[in-house]
Amino acid sequence: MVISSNVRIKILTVFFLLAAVLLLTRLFNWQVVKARELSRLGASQHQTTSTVAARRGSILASDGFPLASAREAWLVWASLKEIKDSQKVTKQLATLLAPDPEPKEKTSTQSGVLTDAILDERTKEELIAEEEERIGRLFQKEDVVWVPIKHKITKEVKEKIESLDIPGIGFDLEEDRAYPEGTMSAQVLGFVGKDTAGSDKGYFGLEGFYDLTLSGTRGIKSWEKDASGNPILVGVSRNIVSMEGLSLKTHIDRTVQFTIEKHLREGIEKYGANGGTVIVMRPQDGAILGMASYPSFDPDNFASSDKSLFTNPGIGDSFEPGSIFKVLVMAAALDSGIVKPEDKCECTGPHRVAEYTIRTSTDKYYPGSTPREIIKNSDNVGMIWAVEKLGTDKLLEYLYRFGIGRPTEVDLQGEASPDLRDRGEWTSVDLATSSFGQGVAVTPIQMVQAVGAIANNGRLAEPQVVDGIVGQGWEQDVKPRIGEVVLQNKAVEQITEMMVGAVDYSLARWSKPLTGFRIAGKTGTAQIPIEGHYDKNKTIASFVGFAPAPQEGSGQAAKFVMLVTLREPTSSPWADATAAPVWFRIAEDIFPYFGIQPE
Amino acid sequence: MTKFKLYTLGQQSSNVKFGKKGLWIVILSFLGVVFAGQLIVSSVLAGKGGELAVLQNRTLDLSRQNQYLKQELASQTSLLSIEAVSRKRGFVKPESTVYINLSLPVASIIH
Repeated sequence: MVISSNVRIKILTVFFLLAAVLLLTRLFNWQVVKARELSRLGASQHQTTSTVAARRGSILASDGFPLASAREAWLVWASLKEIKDSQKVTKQLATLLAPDPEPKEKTSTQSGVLTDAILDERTKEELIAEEEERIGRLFQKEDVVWVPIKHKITKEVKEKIESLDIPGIGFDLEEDRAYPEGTMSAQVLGFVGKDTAGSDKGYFGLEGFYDLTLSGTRGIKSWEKDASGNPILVGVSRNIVSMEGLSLKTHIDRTVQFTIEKHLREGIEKYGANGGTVIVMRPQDGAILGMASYPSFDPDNFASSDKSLFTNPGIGDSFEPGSIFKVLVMAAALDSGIVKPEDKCECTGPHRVAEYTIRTSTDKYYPGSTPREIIKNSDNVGMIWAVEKLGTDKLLEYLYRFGIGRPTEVDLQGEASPDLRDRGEWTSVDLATSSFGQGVAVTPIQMVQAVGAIANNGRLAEPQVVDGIVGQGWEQDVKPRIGEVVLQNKAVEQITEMMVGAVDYSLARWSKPLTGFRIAGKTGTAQIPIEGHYDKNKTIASFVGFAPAPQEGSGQAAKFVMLVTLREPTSSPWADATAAPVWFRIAEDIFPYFGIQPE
Repeated sequence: MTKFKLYTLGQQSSNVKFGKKGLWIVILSFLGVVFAGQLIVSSVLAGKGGELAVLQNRTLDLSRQNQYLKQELASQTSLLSIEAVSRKRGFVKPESTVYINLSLPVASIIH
């Protein structure tokens, strides 16, 4: 059969048309129907996404020195399938990753009191054996191809492991925290731990309070890569910029901090105390120049520290202040005009209040005492005379204005504030005992803030640690929080002179080199309440003072106010033999630093 | 009327042929140059991607090194280090501080 050429052309045309339709159908299928799926598959091959970590901000001292800063650290991990001899690798890693044994701390030769708690007595060999067991357990995990072995190892340890050239062992960059000044100001700084999601989070102190500011925000980087993994410049890329954490510039003066920590440690050892706190504040603006408590913890090794040490006693522990509280009560009495400097108290002997008889600490009495003499002699009976004239309502009003009974809102995480009893709950006994600082509770920071108002010409300045926030190329000051006027000028001058007199009265006994300086201060020895009664032997010894004490009408300002408290000193329960000498030894060192000269 | 047409009235048909052919040559040459240029740029950029990766890694390394050196510097200049070094070298704390009055008079008027 002969097919004509026209027919052949038509058959071919139909054939080609069918082929074209088939092709178009297939193209439609790949480019429209399966477009999304294929695009995703393609992207997974040539698109790569990585998280850009945000470096945590630093915490700087007043001179810009980093007290805490971000440090490069590494996560060491193992790809289990590539580990050939797991026992050998375990031994090799354990030797390098086992922690160092805790240093043995010295004990006091005088009183046998430990200066730091010994928490761990394991030897290096025991620690290596424990580490070996831990790593061995990780390597024995089934259905797992990858295990993290240890987080936050240092660069030096990483390099040592790398030099072993173990197949299957790798490293991921992490961030750790460095503390160039060691344990100094640990309880002010706080530490960085992990939250429930495994991300870094600050706890306690500045790390806790300013966690959000310090943390920063992670970024995401997404780009197309070629077969070698290099970025394709003309390809699609997406970049969400990371924001590094902001840094904090604090008021903490390293010299002051170093000095108070050194003398506090020495004082605790010398006087056999359980612990103690020192706070130094600039009264004009509430700047915390130094804050130390002992015992403390190592923020670089917080996991193995006693958790009870994380709370900063300077802001979190309350105590009955004892006689240091007298300056606030007497200042209130003078400011209200109810007590005048020339008034005299009978004060012939013990004072009966309800069913109680209240005596002076020495059982000595000073009939006809003026307020100045009451403060000088730390006369409990004289104070009852003053507070009974003042009355509960006025006393509570002034205490509240001094900041007692409410948080200072200092920028540190962990502040506690004991409540003042409601007006209706105050009895005559409570009024009497509160005049000499028993039956009321304060935190050290509240006490410093209150006495700071006297040093600042009657105006309360709320304590503050952070001076400014520092970013990339910018800095913003944190304004001081200046509160209300608590005392008028006249009362400030009167109480200041009384406190100067109180210091001069015993200055020769405490510290001779400090003669000629105008220091306003007060000792306080408070009994510790235990199960409804006061312990006869245990005390909290305190000294609070400011210098240079302004002369009447001079316009001069005190450069600092400082509180020293020692808990349960055993060499002597009295503050004038324990806390006061520590205060004066610190003052001796910081007077030249502050340019405070003798008169 | 184009220039070609004014010059070559007598040879119009051959110039039209040249015009069409020439135009195609120009277009194809231009496209060829564009394609070649794109090929060259793409291959250069492909290489640059690798260089960029190297530079980015170098920047990260330098940044990490800088941070490490800052920490080392801080560690060596900390008060703890300074105290330890000074104690080792025999420095001691002064036993007492003497305050002197800088405005010592040389002479004074006697009334």
